[in-house]
Amino acid sequence: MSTSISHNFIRSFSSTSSVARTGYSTVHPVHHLVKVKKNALKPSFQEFLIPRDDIRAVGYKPKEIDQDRLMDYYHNTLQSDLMLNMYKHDSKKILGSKLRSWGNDSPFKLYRELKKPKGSLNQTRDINPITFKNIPQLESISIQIYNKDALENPWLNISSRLLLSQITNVKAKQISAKANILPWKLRRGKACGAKVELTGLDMSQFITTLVEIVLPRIRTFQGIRLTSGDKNGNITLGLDPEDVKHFPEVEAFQELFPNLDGLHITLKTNARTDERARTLLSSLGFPFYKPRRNS
Amino acid sequence: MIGGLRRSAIRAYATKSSPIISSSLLLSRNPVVTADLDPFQSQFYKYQQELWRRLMWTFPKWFYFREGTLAEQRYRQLNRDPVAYNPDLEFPRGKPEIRHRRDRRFKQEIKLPKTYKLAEDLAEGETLPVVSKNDLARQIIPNSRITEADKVNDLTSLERKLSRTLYLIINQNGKWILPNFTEQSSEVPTALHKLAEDGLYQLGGEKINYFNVSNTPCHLHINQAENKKEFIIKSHILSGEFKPQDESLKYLWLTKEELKDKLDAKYYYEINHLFSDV
Repeated sequence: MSTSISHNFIRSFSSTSSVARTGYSTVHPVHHLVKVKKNALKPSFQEFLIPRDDIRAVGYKPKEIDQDRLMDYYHNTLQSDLMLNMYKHDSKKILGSKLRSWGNDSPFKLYRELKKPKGSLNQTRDINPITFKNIPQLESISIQIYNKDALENPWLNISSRLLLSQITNVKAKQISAKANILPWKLRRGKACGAKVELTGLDMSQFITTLVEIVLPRIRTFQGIRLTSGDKNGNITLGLDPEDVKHFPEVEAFQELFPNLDGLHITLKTNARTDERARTLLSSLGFPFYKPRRNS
Repeated sequence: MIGGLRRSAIRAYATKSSPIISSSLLLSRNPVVTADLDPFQSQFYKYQQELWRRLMWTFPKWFYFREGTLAEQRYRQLNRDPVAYNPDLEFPRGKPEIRHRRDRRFKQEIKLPKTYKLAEDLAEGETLPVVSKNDLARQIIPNSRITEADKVNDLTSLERKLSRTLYLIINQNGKWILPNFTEQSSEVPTALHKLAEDGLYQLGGEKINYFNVSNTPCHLHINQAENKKEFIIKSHILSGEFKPQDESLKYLWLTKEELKDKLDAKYYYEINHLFSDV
C-alpha cells in the first residue's frame, strides 16, 4: 500500500486523521497541572536562572570567606571524641516503629493500606549504633520570630525582619499566617513574623555569639531544658525580648530597635535521638538543665 | 575423648603466664588558637573575602547615623564621599560608578571614630595617656600566637604551639612511650580509666583539671616484650599545670610530627591514627 504511513501504524477504532494530517507533532500534548512561567524563559532573563552559588549569578555571595573556628574545632577535636564517647560495645540497630502488614491470608489484606505503627501515629526512624559514618553533626539553625503586633500594624514586621537580619547576617524571610483564627486576629496571608535558616559560617558565628556573649549575660538563664527536643535530634530554645538585648548588634543601637521580639531557635542536628543531639550541643558549649516538676 | 582434649587445652593455656592488663594515657592539650593556614589557604580566603566585600550591600549610613546628629558629623569627617564623575577630568582608575555615595566598583571601607589615641594621632608636644587595663575604651591588642615557650623551644611547656594538639609522653628505661600504669595490688580490680586517672595524678600532681573522653579505651596495644596488654584511655587536659612529682621524670608535650621522631617507629605506626593532624 502507500508508504507514507509509518511502518508501526496499527489500525485501531480511532480515526486515522491525525496520522494522515500534515505537520503532525510527535510531541504529546501535556496538560500542565504545574503552571510554567514562560516569560521567565525570555533570553534576557537567562542570567537569573543561573544557580546562586555560581560566580556568574546575579545574587552570588561567596561562602568560604574565612576560617570557621567552630567547625575546625568540631572536625579536629570533637568528632573523634564524640565517636568514642557514644560508642557502646555490641550495640545493635534499634528498629523504629513502622507501618505494619495486616497479614497475607487474604487478597483483601494483601492490598489493604498498611496498618498504623504500634504505639504511635507516625513511623519512627531506626537508631543506628554510632560509627565513623554517623557522628552527630550540626546541620543548620532555624530562627523564627512571631510578631503578633504586626497583625494589626503590618509595618511593625519590618523591625522584626531587620532584627533577625542584623543578628544573623542573613536576609530574613517574612512569615505569614496560615489559618484564620478570629480570637487571635489571625487572617490567612497576613505577615506575622520573620524566619532565617543559617548554615556554614553564619551558623558558626551565631553559635559563638550565643554561647560566648548572649547566654552568659542572661541572669535567669539556667540552660536549655532537658525536655526540649522533637525526639529526632532537633533541639529548640527560646529567648525573650529582654534576652535579645544582649546581642552586640542590638545592644550598641538600642534606640534603633524600639520593639524587640523573642526568638525561637531550633538547632537542627543529624543525630537520631535527642540524647545524642544534647551531647553534641553541650560539647559546643550549650548548658542543659533539668526543670523541676512544679515549675 | 573430648574431655581429654579439653583438659589438655586448658593445661596448655595455664602454662603460659596471663598478660598484665594495664592502662595507657593519651593525654592531649587541645589547640588554644585557630589552626595555622598554609599560604594557599590564606590566599584563597583573602580572595573570597575581597570578593564578598566587593559584592556587599552599601552600608546603610542613614540608618545608623541620623542626619544632623553629632555622630553623623563625625562619621562624615572620617568617611569622605567618593569623587563623582566629571567629563572634564581624567580618571586613571576608570570612570566612577557612584550609587548612594559609594563607588560600586570597589569594596566599601568604613572608618569609625576611635575610642583611644594612637601615637600618629598625637599633636606635637602631646604624650600618650596612660590607659588602665580595665578601661573599656582601650585599644585591643591580641596576644601573640607565638609564646615564650616557643621562643626558647621548651618542649615540656603546655604553652607551646598554641595552634596544635600536644600529647604527653614520658621516658621509661630510655624509651619514649605514652604514660602506662599497671595495677599494684589486684585484690579488687580497678577500672581502666580510674587507673589512668590515679597514674596521672601521681605523675603530674593533683592540680590538673582534665576531661576523660570515655571510659571505653580507644585502642589496645599488645606489648609482647613485657607481656602487657595496654588499653589506651583518651583524655584532655583542660586547665591547671602539669608539675612532675618525681624529679627524675622526663616528659614532653609534643605534636604529631614530633612524636614520630621520638616514639619507636613500630609503636608510632600502630597508634598514629589516634593523634590529631592539627
